[in-house]
Amino acid sequence: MSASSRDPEDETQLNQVVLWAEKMFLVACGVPAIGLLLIVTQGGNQAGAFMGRMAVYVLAAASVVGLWLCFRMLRAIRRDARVFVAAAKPIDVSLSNAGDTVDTV
Amino acid sequence: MASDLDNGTRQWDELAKHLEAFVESWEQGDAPPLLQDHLPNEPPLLRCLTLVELIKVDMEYRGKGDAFRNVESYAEQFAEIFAEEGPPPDLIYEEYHVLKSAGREVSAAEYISRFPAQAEALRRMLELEEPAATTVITEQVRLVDVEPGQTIDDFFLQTRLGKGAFGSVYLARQESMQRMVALKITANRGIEGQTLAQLEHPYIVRVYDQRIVPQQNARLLYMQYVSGGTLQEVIKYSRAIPFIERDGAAYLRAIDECLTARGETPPIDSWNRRQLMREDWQNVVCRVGSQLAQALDYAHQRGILHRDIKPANVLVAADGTPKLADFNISFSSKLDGAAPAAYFGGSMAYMSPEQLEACSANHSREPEDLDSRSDLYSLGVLLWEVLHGQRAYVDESFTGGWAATLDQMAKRRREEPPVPPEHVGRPENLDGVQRVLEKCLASDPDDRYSCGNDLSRELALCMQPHARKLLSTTAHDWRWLVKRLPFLAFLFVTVTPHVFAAIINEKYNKEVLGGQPQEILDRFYQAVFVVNAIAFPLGIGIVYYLFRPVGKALRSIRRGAPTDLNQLIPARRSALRQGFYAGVLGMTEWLLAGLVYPLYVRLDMRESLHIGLSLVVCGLIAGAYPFFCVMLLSMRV
Repeated sequence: MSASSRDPEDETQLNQVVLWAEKMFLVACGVPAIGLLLIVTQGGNQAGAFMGRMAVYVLAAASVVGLWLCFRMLRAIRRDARVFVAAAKPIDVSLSNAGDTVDTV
Repeated sequence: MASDLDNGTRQWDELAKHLEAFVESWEQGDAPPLLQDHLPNEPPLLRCLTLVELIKVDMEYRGKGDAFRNVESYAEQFAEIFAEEGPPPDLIYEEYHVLKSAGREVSAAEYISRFPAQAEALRRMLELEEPAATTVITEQVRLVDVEPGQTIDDFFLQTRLGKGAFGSVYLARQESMQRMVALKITANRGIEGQTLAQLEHPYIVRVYDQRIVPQQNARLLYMQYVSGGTLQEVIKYSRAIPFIERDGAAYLRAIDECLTARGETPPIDSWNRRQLMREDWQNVVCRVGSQLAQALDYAHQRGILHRDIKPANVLVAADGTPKLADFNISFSSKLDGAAPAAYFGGSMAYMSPEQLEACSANHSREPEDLDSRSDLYSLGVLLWEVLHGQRAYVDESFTGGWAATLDQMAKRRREEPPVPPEHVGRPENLDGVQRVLEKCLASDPDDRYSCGNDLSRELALCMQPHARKLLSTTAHDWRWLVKRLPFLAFLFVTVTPHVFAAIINEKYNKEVLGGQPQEILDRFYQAVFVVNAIAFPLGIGIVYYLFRPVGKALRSIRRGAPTDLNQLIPARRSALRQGFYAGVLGMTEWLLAGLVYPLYVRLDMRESLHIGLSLVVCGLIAGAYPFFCVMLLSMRV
């Protein structure tokens, strides 16, 4: 479908997708941040025993890995969007001034 | 291989040589020259072709005097040549044309009854309102007395750059402007100059102006001089080196050889050359092809077809930029300059099947039926030759009469897709370019690119491996699996983060509520069960509902059904929203759960805060991760 539907109006939507992706990356940044908050606040909680802490630590570690993955996917989405936008437009493969300046005898 | 490829051009030169000598004999001698004195002995088909063209010239000269001979008398004299198929229709038409031009009474019916075997072709030819010459070769031959070192009009001719079916091109100095120009000398016919002057494009040779020399009935078309030779020379150079050694540097070396041969110095500092120097051969072909496709698109948008695309008609600037030249816009009917002989200089090998049929007097297809896709086919053949060093079809030689040769060539192009040669050290990224060229060479014009711009874009994308992979219609990686099972793939990447979040949440909250009474714990697990029992099926149902148009479009593409763009574009737009839906839906469900749990379980502030925060974290996980995964799938399938 990506190959067969390259309409120029894709550009608006692709820009929108990139914008969403950037916002979602901020959302993903919230996971380790709140995870850290949970670890800190749970420190004083006597009821929070080993399993609870482990869950938070796993969450924190996973969220860092997840954040890295989200960053990679954000980059991929940006790059793909650029390709699609370029594909919908006439592509110029010109080499500077198309040879006029060197055609001298 | 080279000898096969150059065979057509050599035979053309041979033919032109005989015609030149014959015209010279007519011009200088007192008595009509003898045809047999100017006929080559071998090969038989060249002999036949030369005879037809010589007879046309002979008829024209005799038509001006009293010694006119009709076609039958020639056929009787050369019975061994014409016995099998009879005189060709274009020769018969030439007699009609010569007599009509001389003011004699001629009727189409008479010719049709005289030559019943050629009746069908003659009927088509004679339907033309305006009589037209069947050959342009004669006109060109009459201009050969112009030689380098002479001055014609405002131009001092320095050297001959090339010679084709429609005229000769010289490097000349325009005295009044003190500049070097390429001067094309042709017979004064058609409106080529005016039309070409409208084309101003970086990849089309710029035409400055034209002058008419009435005494010689010649037209002098002077245009931008492009010094780096032609793609023909690039191909010749690349054929001499192994495929693995062909690259941008080799392309530039071929140009430099041409420059040096003309006594010019290659440019030392050129941004274009530095770029080309780094390219591999496939990218050079894509770049050149993309630029030429842009030039064609520009001309096509102005209603001008090229109709004679071949390596010799693509000039190359010193910095490697290709420029399309020699628009054969005077080609306007089966007769007006379109006699097959006019193309027997290497052009036929590049013609589309429909153009070959339009050239054939035996075929009902008219040249007016051709459209831009015919030019794109020719460009595909040209690029194929540049890429592989050999033509897609090596068959431009006489295997029978004109009709048989043209029919055979058209048939082969319709029935046999070209097979790419095997190269030692074949690079992997050749496939993308190969696919584009195969589409250009589709026998049905509807299966080719619809315009030059589309072809240009595809070739430009082939230069970017990531873009080529992304836009490829034949995925052989994980995308194949996603296309087979789209909903399951989308569901998997959406639900997995939820499940992960749910497990973590359950473990964490169990510990948070560890010191609470059993009643509170029971209420908590009750809430978890009810919320999950509602949220997961509801979420999956909503995802399925929103995904339906995307799934339908993917199924349709997978089955190879013709897909209407009006359905595909909304489906594509819907696909690009799937990530958003998955993210917002997932986040909303978890955040709602974050409100429901503390309220339903009736916890104190501290526990409520912990549970609420843990559910917010899960909401963020369930929002962000599915969003990215789904969005990536949506963009790439």
